[in-house]
Amino acid sequence: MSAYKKFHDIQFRDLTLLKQALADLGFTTLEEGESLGLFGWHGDLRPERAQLVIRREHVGSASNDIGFMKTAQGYVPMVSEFDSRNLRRGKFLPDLRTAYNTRVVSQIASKLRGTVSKTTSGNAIKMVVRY
Amino acid sequence: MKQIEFEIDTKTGELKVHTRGFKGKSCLDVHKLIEALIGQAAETAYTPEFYQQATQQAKAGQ
Repeated sequence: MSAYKKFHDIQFRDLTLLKQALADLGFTTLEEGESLGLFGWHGDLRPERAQLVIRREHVGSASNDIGFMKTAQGYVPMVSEFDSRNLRRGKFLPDLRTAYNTRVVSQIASKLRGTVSKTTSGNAIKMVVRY
Repeated sequence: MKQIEFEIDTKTGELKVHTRGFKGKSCLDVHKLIEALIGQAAETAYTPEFYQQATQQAKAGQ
């Protein structure tokens, strides 16, 4: 059984941007609720509870549910050890953070009525907002 | 013109932010806007320009 890990050092403060970022990665079917149970790939209910969930059938054939727990600092991801290693070749959370932060930049630019220029160099995406 | 430079490390997803063209503490308003979406910065460093307006105001008061 693959245990869940809570990534407290990663917090997504804005739910709308988080959902958009998940959609950017192809996760468009999400479940929201007060205290949603997380299920492992065997259909076993885990003790963890979340407020935003990607059900395992939308994650991968051998995957577990992925949850996001609402805290005062934002939504904290809860990902099983299996999915941390295998989903998106082990890059699910870095990819999600990248997508989320890209959405953040667009949001900031929109609020400031600025323009955005984007360049990519190696592992770095550089985005400049001018206003 | 004011400029905000964002750099995302795709290996980790971490974000770095650098503001340019701001005088004194006016950049803090932008920082608050950003922190509302990404949370408090793990590390903050201020350029000499950040302290420039405060120094000028102190000199004017002498």
